[in-house]
Amino acid sequence: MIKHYIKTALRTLRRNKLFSVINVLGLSIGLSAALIIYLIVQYDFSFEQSRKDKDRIYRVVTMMSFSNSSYPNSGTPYPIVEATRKEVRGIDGSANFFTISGEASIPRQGAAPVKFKHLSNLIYTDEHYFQLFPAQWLAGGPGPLNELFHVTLTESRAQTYFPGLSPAQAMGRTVIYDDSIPCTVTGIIKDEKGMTDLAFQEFISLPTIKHSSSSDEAGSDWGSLNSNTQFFVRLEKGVQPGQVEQQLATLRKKYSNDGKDTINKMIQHLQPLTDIHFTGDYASFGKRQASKAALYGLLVVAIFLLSLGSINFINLTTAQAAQRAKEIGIRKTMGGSRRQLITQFLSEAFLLTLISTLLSVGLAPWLMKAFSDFIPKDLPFTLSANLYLFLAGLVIVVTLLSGFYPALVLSRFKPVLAMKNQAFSNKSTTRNALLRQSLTIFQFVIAQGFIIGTIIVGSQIHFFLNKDMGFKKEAIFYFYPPFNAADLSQRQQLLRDRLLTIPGITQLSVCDAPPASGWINSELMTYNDGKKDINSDVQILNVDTNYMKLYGLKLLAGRNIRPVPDSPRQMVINRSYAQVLGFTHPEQALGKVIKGSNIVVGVAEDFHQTSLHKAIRPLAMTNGHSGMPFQWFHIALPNTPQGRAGWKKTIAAVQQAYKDIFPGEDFEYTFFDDSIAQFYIAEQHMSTLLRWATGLTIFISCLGLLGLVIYSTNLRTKEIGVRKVLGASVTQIVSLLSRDFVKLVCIAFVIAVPVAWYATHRWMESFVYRTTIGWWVYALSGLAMLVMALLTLSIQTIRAASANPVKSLRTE
Amino acid sequence: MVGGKPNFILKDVHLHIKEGEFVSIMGPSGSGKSSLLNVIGMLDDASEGEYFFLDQPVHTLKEKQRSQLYKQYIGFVFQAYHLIDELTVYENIETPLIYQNIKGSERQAMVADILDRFQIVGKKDLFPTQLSGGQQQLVGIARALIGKPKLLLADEPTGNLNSRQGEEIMELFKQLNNEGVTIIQVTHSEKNAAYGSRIINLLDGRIENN
Repeated sequence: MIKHYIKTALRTLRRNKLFSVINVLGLSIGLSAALIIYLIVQYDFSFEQSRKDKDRIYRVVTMMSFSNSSYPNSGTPYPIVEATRKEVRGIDGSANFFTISGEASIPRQGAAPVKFKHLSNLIYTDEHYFQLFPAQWLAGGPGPLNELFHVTLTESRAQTYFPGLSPAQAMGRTVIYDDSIPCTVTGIIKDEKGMTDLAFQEFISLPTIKHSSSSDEAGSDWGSLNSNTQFFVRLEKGVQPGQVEQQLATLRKKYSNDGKDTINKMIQHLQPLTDIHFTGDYASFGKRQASKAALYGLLVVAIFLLSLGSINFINLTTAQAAQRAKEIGIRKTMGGSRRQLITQFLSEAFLLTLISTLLSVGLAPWLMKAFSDFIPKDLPFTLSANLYLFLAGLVIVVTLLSGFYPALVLSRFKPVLAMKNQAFSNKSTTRNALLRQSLTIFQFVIAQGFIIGTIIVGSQIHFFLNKDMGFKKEAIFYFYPPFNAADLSQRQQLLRDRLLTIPGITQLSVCDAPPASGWINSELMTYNDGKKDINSDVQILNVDTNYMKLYGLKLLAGRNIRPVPDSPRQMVINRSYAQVLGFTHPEQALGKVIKGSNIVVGVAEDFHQTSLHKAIRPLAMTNGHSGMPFQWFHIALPNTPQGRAGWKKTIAAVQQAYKDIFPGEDFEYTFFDDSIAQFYIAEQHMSTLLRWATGLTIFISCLGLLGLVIYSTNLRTKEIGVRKVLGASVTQIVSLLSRDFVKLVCIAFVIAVPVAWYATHRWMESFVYRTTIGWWVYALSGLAMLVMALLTLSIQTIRAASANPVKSLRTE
Repeated sequence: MVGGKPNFILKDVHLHIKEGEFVSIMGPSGSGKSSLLNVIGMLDDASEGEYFFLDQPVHTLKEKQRSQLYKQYIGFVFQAYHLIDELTVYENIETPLIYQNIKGSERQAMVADILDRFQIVGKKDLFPTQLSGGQQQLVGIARALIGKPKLLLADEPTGNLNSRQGEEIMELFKQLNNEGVTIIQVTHSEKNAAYGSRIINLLDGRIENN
């Protein structure tokens, strides 16, 4: 029985080669996209899912507010840990730890110790950690983590440090951290198997932190906050996070003084464990986070591509119904029931989907490119049992989606009429034709929408990258020395002097971060205008005298910073701050004193301190110390064709100087314009995805269109012949054949424009600075779609129109 | 329906056909011959009236029961043969058995049997388009008989054949009738009609003489 269905299906597919190819191509693209997107989505949503009690575990995070700005921080002030354990009800477990990075050395007998640099996944923690996040112990136990100088390693890390040793043999060995903290290995655990961001590999006993450079992070100050200080709690069953948040607020009031401070505020929140992997206010532990919005966007793309492929199948199958009517009639008179016929047609859809699925697995690596921006680095592309299950489910869903309606239509034919080929006339007024037209319109609405979206996102990115941000960004690169180098100040001075001797450098500035960066240091500043205090959160840039010139910042009034720090601190404020202070003319601000002994010596034109997503904020450039020992080196290069030729040499010279002064350190530099482009990486990713989605939807839709036009011209062969005999020109016939389809594309345009306008308008609203979208964008995208549709149609129409009428009439 | 007035294709047809008869229906084009055959063959419903088949009231039966009855007792032969182009001779003949859910081994035996009887074993793997008209009709009849029907309905079975092929088919019908199969055929040809034991003349949807 099944054999019979499959055999018939295979023969039918082979007989309609062209339509089968169109269907398989369209479906396999959709399936391939679905496959990859499933992998991505499945990967990202599986994080922390295998943890015990995952729904009851929360991370305690902090939202800081200064004046009007909020700063989310994934850490908590350390004293909260102790206070929470003692005083907060509704918690049945908690763990705190400090995330650090560092280096380790393994002493060896009779040989130099082996060094490991840039270690990650290190934490200081105690026994509590493993109560909340249980591990499988291969040797030892968590007990010693409550005492000084102990460490627990994962199996894999133990193998790195002590190759060839079994867990039991590694016990009791020593690991020396940062050359000064010797720890004894007193536990080996199995590596975490499930997907998790808490993939720590070395657990140094908590009391040891007092002997490390991070000791002040474990202080008792309620006002000190560091994202390295992590605190997790497990709520008792039935306890709502809000109840615990309230108790935490009470604790803060009781122990800290910032509750009385109206400007500075810290509020603790509970973040669900399962949210840590996703982008939001709070960072993961320096790990990649996935954006839920992007994942949902990907899902939508997958659904669109799949449904477009299915639509081709529905359209082409119902269009061919007339040709199959006879067969259906015969089968019915031979006793075939409707259900048996439906099964037969579904087998055809199934077979086609199956072939497409096989092809899609082959297509997947190629299509991976389309989604490369969204694919996590360690995403496995292996055909796991899960994946097979997903593919099987997909095959069934797609089979039903594309096969069920045509099966219903075809099996409905009355046998007597069907055999006389009167089952339906091919007038465009029949219900199936209407459905076909609607589905084709739907396809082109999607394609058209994607085209408009791509152009608009593209022009917004163009706007971002080309808008005058108020500073120079070409031919400038910057770098900074290692944070923790010894004698940093002296060596920075040395490097600076050395750089001044390199001829290829046009300008050099050594100070704070570039004008626009993610690095923001701000202070609360108060100015009294004689009547009232004006409090503002002001960004501080500590600069040297070259800074403004190097970055081309414009001075509106007053003077630049002078090299020598003087008291009161000199400040060049930006126009926005001057306006906040109530000065309508920049000159008015000169000489004004801002509390904390700051004097305004100049006013600069506004420039963008971060990406164009955000508005310009009050800013002051000073020559004071930022409190950071390390400084950024900004280097301007000659921006002429001849100058550009020398860049390589200059950069090599800078690198040499850096390596001489900081031996063993990697020299990493960034061109300023590249780092500006990085601000818009999310938009760039979106743009790439949109371009692919557009290309693929157009391709699938045009395939379907081609199938339909081939079918309709075949039906009208005789009509075309007669018209030609009567003297119609090729152009007239082409336009006759294309007219109906062009109408559909036009209707699709009319529907797509408002939808696309609304969606892109909403998207653009999230930017403070945005480009204006003219009507021509819509006109252009409509025209583009029309041209593509016409080209597709012309493949068939021109051939049909230029066929010799004598031939086509004779075959009738 | 034309102009809102009911326009009957068949009217006041009272007909009783006994088991084992060989009936020929004759009449000019449009007289309702095929429609009558379709109603008898349960491919079409009569809008009014009653139809009893083997004492079962077909007009009141549900689709499923009717289909059951149809599969079991009726075979159909068409003027245009109506073989399925995608299937071989063997598969065409086998198809009704598949729809009757007959097991594979049994199907094989039955098809082999009938191929043998019609002497078309050598053609079993050919597709319909590779056969002559007479051969195609032979396959069509074999297919109609594979389910061992009690009633064979033939709509101008020789209409597309030359006279020699036509005669062969008629001889075959005669033989089948002798073996006990009830046959109702629609025909234009007096000569073919004469093979039957009874002739019904239709005119404008009414039985002229019987």
